[in-house]
Amino acid sequence: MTKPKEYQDIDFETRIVGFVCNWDAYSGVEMAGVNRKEYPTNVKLVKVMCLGRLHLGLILKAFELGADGVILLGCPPEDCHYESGTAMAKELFTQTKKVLNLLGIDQNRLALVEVPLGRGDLLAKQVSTFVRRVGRIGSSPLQSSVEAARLA
Amino acid sequence: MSRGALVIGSDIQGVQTALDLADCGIKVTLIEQSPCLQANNAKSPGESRLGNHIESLRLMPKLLKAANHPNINILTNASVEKVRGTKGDFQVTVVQQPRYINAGICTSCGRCELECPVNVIPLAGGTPDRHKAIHRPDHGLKSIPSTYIIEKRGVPPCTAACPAGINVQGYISLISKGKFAEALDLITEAVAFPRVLGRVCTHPCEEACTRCKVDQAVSICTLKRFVADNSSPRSSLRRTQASGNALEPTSRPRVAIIGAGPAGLTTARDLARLGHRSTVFEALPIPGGMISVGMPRFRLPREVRQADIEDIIRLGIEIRTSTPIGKELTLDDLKRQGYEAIVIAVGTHRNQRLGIPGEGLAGVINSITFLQAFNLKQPITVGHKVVVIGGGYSAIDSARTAIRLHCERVLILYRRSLEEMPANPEEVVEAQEEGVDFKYLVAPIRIIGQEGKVVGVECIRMGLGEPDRSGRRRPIPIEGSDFFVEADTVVVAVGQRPDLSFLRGDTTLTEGGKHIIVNPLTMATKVPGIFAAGDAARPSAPLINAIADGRRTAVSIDRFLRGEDLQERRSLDKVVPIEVNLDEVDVPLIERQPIPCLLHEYRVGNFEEVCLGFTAEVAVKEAKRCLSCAGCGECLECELACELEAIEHDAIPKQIEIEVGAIAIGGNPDIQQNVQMWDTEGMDLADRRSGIYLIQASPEAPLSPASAVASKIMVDLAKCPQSEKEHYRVIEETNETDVLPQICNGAKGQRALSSSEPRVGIFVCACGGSISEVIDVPSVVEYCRELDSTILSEQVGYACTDETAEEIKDLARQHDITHIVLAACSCCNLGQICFSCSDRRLQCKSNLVDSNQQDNICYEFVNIREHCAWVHNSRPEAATAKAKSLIRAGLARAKESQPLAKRKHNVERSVLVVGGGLSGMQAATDLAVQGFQTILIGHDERSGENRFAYHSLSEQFRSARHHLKGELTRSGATVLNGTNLINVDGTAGRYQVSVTQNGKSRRFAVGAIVIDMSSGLDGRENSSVAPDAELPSLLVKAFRSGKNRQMVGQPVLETVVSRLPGVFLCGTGQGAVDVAEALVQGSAAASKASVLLSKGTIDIKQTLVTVDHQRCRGCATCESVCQFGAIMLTEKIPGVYRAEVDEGLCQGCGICVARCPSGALSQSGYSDSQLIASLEAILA
Repeated sequence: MTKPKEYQDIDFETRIVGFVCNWDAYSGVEMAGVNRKEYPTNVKLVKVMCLGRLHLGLILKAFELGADGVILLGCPPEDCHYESGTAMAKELFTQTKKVLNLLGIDQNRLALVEVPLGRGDLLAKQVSTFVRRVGRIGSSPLQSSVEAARLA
Repeated sequence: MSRGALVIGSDIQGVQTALDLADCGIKVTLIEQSPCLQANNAKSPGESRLGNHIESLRLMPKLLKAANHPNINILTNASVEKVRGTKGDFQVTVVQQPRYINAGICTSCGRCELECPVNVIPLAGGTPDRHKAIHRPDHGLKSIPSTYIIEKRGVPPCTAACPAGINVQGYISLISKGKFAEALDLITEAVAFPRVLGRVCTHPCEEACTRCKVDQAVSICTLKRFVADNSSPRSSLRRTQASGNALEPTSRPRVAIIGAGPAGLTTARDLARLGHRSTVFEALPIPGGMISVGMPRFRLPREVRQADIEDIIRLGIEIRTSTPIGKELTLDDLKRQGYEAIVIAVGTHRNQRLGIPGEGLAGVINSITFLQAFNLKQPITVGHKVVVIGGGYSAIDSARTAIRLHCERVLILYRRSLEEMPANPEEVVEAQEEGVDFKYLVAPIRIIGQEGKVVGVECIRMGLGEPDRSGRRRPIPIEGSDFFVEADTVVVAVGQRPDLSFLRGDTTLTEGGKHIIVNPLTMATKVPGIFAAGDAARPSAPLINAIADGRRTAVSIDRFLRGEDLQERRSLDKVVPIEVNLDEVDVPLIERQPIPCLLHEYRVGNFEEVCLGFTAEVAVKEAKRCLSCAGCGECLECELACELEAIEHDAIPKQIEIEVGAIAIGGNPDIQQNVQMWDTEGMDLADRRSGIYLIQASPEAPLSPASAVASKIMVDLAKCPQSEKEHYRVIEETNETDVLPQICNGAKGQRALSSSEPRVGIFVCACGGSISEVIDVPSVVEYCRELDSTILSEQVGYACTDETAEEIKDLARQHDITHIVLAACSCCNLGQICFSCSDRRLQCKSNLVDSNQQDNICYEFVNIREHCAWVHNSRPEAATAKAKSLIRAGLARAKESQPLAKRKHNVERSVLVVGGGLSGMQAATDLAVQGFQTILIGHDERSGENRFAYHSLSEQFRSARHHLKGELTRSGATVLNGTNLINVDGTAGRYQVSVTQNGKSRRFAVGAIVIDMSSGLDGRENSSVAPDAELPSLLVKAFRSGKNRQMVGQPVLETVVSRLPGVFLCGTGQGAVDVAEALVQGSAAASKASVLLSKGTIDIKQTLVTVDHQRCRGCATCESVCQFGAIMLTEKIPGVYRAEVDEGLCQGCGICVARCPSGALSQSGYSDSQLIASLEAILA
C-alpha cells in the first residue's frame, strides 16, 4: 500500500504516545475527527483530566515501554479548567526534558502543544509535525532493550 | 392548573432557566424555532464562523445537560401560535414543523447524507452554508438533538410545471451524482415512454426552470433522454410498494381501452401497477398512436418508441392491433364481453380541412396521412415542389420529411408570424437548416389544379389584429395582396380532430361530435364506467398532457372498480411552485450544454435521428447546473440508505397543546420580538403579574437574569393553589448516609474482582457503516475474541439505539459478563458532560449505564470513530490495527479499575440568608414563599443602604426596600435581628451554622447559604459578621480568588455561584449599587439554592481524588497545589496529620495526585495503574 503523499517522509514504524487533556485539547481530537482531518495512525492517545495530572514517572514509563515520542496535548493557560494545570504541565515538560537528556534520550522526542478549544485542524497539524520530527530522529534507543525484554 | 413551565428560545439564558426549573423537579417544555438548540445567538455579524463555532462548543455541555434532562422536553423546529389563560394556567398552542426524520430513531450515522445528491443553494435568510438537503443543522455532528433534518422548501417550478407530475428536480440531482438507473426509476415511477418523452416532449419544465433567471434552463428533456437511453430501470421493489399495490393483475381483464396511443397505454400501464388487467384495442396495425405514426423517424426512431411500448406490454397488457371499434366490435359488445370500464383514448387521427376550393385535387395530402405513410411504410407519391400549410409540429415534421426526399423546394405557409407559431422554435431552426423555406403571414385561398392534379396554391398576405381566445393575434387578410405559389404536392397540416365515427352518432358522450365530454378531474364521461383520455377528450395538447390524462384516468378507474368516490382528495388545482429569490445569491454562470446534432449534410436523404443526446460526462455536467432550488428533491435515496427507517418524507406539521403555569422567554431579542405576534386574546404581556417573563440578559452577567426568572416561576408555581405540595418532584430520595455504588469504573460493587476472573464482553459498533467503511470491523471482532478474559466479542450496527442496548445487556446476562468494553464513539463512562460530548453518546451511555443498576456490569468505552476511523480514512489497514490496540487499552483499563462510587447525600430543606440588603431580602422572600425554612440574619433598617445612599437611585432603593419588606413579612421567612455569624461548618446540604443573637449563641443546620455581599460582608462595614470575628474559615473558600472563577463544565460565568458548593452570592458587582440588578441577583441566588434544596441530593465528582492514609506522610504538598482548597491536612490523632479531600470542593483535576511524593493519592478513573495499563496496551 502506498503512503499518502503528506506522510511519505514519515517513518511509520515509530510509536507515538499522546497524553491529552480532557478539555480543550480533547475537543481538538474530537473536532479533527468530525472534520476528517487526517493524522498518522501511529499516534495513540491517552486521555487524562488535566495535563497537571501527569508526572515524570508516567512519561518515562511510556519511553520505557518503547515509545519513540511522547506529545503532551494541553490547553492554553488562560483556558485551563483547573487554573494551574497548564503551568504544571510546562514545569513537568522542562523537568522531563532534562531527565531525558540525562538518560541519553533525545529531548526532541517530547513535545508540549497547546490546543485551543475546538481546533481539530491545529491538533492534526501539530501531531503530524511531531510524528515527522520523531520519524527523522528515528527509533528510540530504548527500543532494543524493550525488544530484548519482550523476548526474554 | 398546570405545574409545568414553558421556556421559549434555547439561547443560553433560556436553557439556564429551563435547567434551574427542571432541577427543581418542574416539568419544562423548551421550545426552539430552529431545528436544533441554539445557545449562541449573540452572533455578531463580524464574528468569524470559527469563532461562533467555538463559542457554541463552549456552551455545549449546558445544552447537552438540558437535552438529556428527564424533566425537560425539547421541541425544536417549533413556534408558539397562541397563548390563552392566566398565570398558573396557560394553554399554549405550539406548531412544530416536521424534520422529515424520526428523531427517536435516527442515530446520525450520516449514511443518508452521503447518498443525498442535492447540494442546497443557500437562499437569502437561510443558512449560509452549502449543505446537503438532508443534513445536520448548524454544528454538524454537534447539533442537539443530533438528528438529521431534510430541507424542503416546497415544490420546485419544474415539477410543478410538468402536467404528469414527474419529479424533475429529483431525477436531475440523481443524474448529477451519476446515479442514472435511480434517475430513470424516478422518471418511470411517474410516466411511461421515458425515451419518447426525452426526445419529443415540449418540456414546460424547462420554461419554468429557476436557472432561467441566471442563464438558461437546465436541459431537462435531453437529460431524461440520456438516462432513458443509457440505463435500465431497477424496478425497485420498494418504490412499487410505495405506490400502493404490488403488481398482481386479476385473472380476467376488467378494463377495455380503445386506442393504444400515449393516453391509452399510460392508462393501461398505471392500471397494471394498481393491480388491474386491461385489454387495449388499436385500429392501426401497430400500437403507439401518434407516437408511432405521427412522428417522423428522424425525430423519434422506430426502435426507440418500440422499446418504450414493449416496457409497457411487459407488464401483462394485451394489445389487439388492427381491431377498430365501430363496425364489427361496438362499445356495447365490449360491455357484453364483461369489461366493467371502458376508456376512449382514440386520439385525433382525422385532419381538419382547410375549407378552401381545390382540397380534393390529387397531390393534396393531409399531414396525418403523409406522416403515417412513412411510418407504416405505405406507398405515397411526393412531388418536387412541396407546400406545407400550417405552423404546428405536424407541419414542421411534414416539411422536414419532404426535404429528406430530395424535393426541389419545401415551403411552409403560415398565416401568422414566427412568434405565434405553436411549433418549438428549435424545430423551426432545424427545419431551416435543412433547407425548408418559411413564408409567414400568408394564407391559402385556393388550390389550383390542372387535370385533377395540383399545380399551385393561390395565397393572400395577412396582417395581425387583436389577440383571440388563444392569446395569439388574429390574422386578417390584406385585400389585393394575393399571389401564386407553384406546387405539385400540398400537405395540409392545420390541426386534427378525433375520429368519433365509431360512436355512430351517439351524442350522449360528445358535444357536437367534436370531443368526448369528460370531467377533467376524473376523466369520467356522463356514462358510468366509460372514461375518455387524451386528445379525444379535449382540444389537442402535447404528448405529456396525454400521459397526464392517462394517469388520472387510471386512478379514477381503480376507484371505480373498487366502488370508491372518484373525486375525493383530488383536485385539478395547479401545484404552486416555490418562489425562489436569487437576488442575493451568488450563482456562478454555467453555459447550458449544447445538444449534439447530426450535421446538416448528413441529414438530407435519410431518416437518421437528428439529435444525438448527451454523453455520460456531459449529462452529469449539465445536471450539475440544477440549482436544486427546492432543497430536497424527494429522490428518496436517503430512504434506501437508512437502515433504521427513520426517514418520513410525508411528515406534516404538528400542532401541540401545552398546559403550563408560567412562561419564560429567552434572551434572544428576535424571540422576544416574536412575542408580539402571538395570539393572546387581548392579554397584556407587559403586565408584570402576567406570569410571562422576558429574560433580560446582560453581557456582564449572562446567567443571573435567567436564574432570577426561574426563581420567579418557582414562586409562581409554588403559589398555585393546587400545586403546593406536588410541584417539586424530588428526583431521588436517599438516606443521609447512603452510599450508592453506582457507575463503577471497572470493578463492581458487590462482586470482588480478585476472587473471580473478570468476564469481558467486547462490542464493536459499525455505526451503520461510518466506522466499518474504514475499519475492518469483523476482523477487529475476531481479534478481540482472542484477547485474555474475553468471553464474548460481537459487532453491533448502531450502539446508541435502545434496541442495541437491550441486545448488549441480554447477551451480557446470558454469558454472565462482568465487564463490557464498547468500541463505538463514546469516550468515557463518567457522568460528566464535556465539550467533546454529543447527544448520541449521552443517549448511548444512558441506555447502557444508567439503567444498569441491577446488572452491576462495568462499562469501558473506547472511541474508534472520531479517534480512529474518521482521522485515518485513507489508511484502512493501519486504522484497523490502531482500533485493535485502542480496544486492547480499553480492556486493560477496565481490568485495572477500582470501584468508582457516585455518592449522594441528603440535603437539609432549610436555607440561611446572610445580609439583608435588597438582594438578601429578595432571596429570602423567594425561598420562603416556596416553603423552604428560611432564616435571614444581618438584616436591619439600614442594610445595604450605605452603598445605595450615595447613589442617585436612592429613592428607587427606598421604595424597593419598602415593597420587599412587606413581601418578606408575608413570605414566612424567619428574620433574626441583631445576629452575627460566628462559624460555618460542614458541607453543601449539611452546613452547621453558629450565630450569636443578643449574646446568646445558636446553632442550626441548613442546606444552603445565600450571602448578600452588598450588606458589607467583604467590606466589613455595617457587617453582618461580628466585626471582631474572623470570617468563618470555610466561607473564605467561597470567595477564594482566582483568575477564573468559572466552575468546571460551566463555561459561562455564573455570578451567583461561589466556589463553595451550596453557598451562593448576590449583591455583587453591579448588584451592590443597582436596584434592578440587586433584585435579579437575589432571585438568581434563590433559584440556585432552590435547585439544591429541591433536588435533595448532591452528586459528587466521579473523578474524585482519594487518599490512602496508610501511605500519606502529611507533607502538605497536595494542599499547596490545590487551587480549590479541596484537599488539606487534618489532625487525625493528636500530632498526626493526614490529607483529607473535601468531596464538594474537589474538581477532579488530579494535580495533587501527580505531586504526591508517597503515592498516597489516587484518582478514580485515572489512577496511575490505569494509565500505565493503557500505555502497555498501546505500546505492546
